[in-house]
Amino acid sequence: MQDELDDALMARAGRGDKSAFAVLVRRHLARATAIAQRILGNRSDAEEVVQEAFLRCWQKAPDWQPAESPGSAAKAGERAQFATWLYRVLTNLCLDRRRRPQPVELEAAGEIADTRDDGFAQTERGEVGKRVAEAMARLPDRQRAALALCYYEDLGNIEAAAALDISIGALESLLVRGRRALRDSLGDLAIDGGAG
Amino acid sequence: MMGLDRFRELLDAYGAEPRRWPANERAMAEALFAQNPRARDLRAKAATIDALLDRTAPLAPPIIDA
Repeated sequence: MQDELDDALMARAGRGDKSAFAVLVRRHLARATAIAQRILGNRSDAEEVVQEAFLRCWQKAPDWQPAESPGSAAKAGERAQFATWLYRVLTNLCLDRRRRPQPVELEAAGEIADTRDDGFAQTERGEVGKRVAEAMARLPDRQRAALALCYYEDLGNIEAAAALDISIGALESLLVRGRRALRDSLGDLAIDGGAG
Repeated sequence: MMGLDRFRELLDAYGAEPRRWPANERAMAEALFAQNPRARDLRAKAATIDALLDRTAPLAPPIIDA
């Protein structure tokens, strides 16, 4: 079962096979969590969103339609349709969460403030890393999402554009604007080649 | 044959690493990079931004229940 394609595992999951679904989750969990954490800047929020994305996969499984043809979503070098669908659901959930004001209960406010802050801080490595993390956090959400998908998680441009539900040209525009904003705010560091 | 303008766009969007360039343009971009000193300069500049982005990686992997 470990070697089965995503579509086959989804078909089994659709018939109620929980072990098949567990294989699917293990296969995609690390990357899904990394994408969500890059977009949300917060590990605990990322884990919640990933859980929701996999719940939607489970709910979708009985109706899952595999890739229709090798030329559609599963071109050579691209992942199969399931991953594309998963990353689209996940990215949408992340962007929705960023758009939504988060209700904060008074007694938990301090704790939540701490955990929301540690997401970007967790990833930093030294002072340069902290500056980069802060600059990433200031980017518009979709620019950060594009960088998360393409730069940090190495998705191909076709798959990343599908995850964001935009054209490849629009994806490149997000990436260009994101990298330029980072370059502008970190230009003093870039002169040194990021050393320090 | 890819022109410098498109090569610059690729670098501005995807960075300096060929593995991140679009699969259908990678070979042309690498050919340009191999023979054009200006392309190499542009790639070196893009690599400085990549180096900064890399300062935030990697993230801790999630814990997976057996």
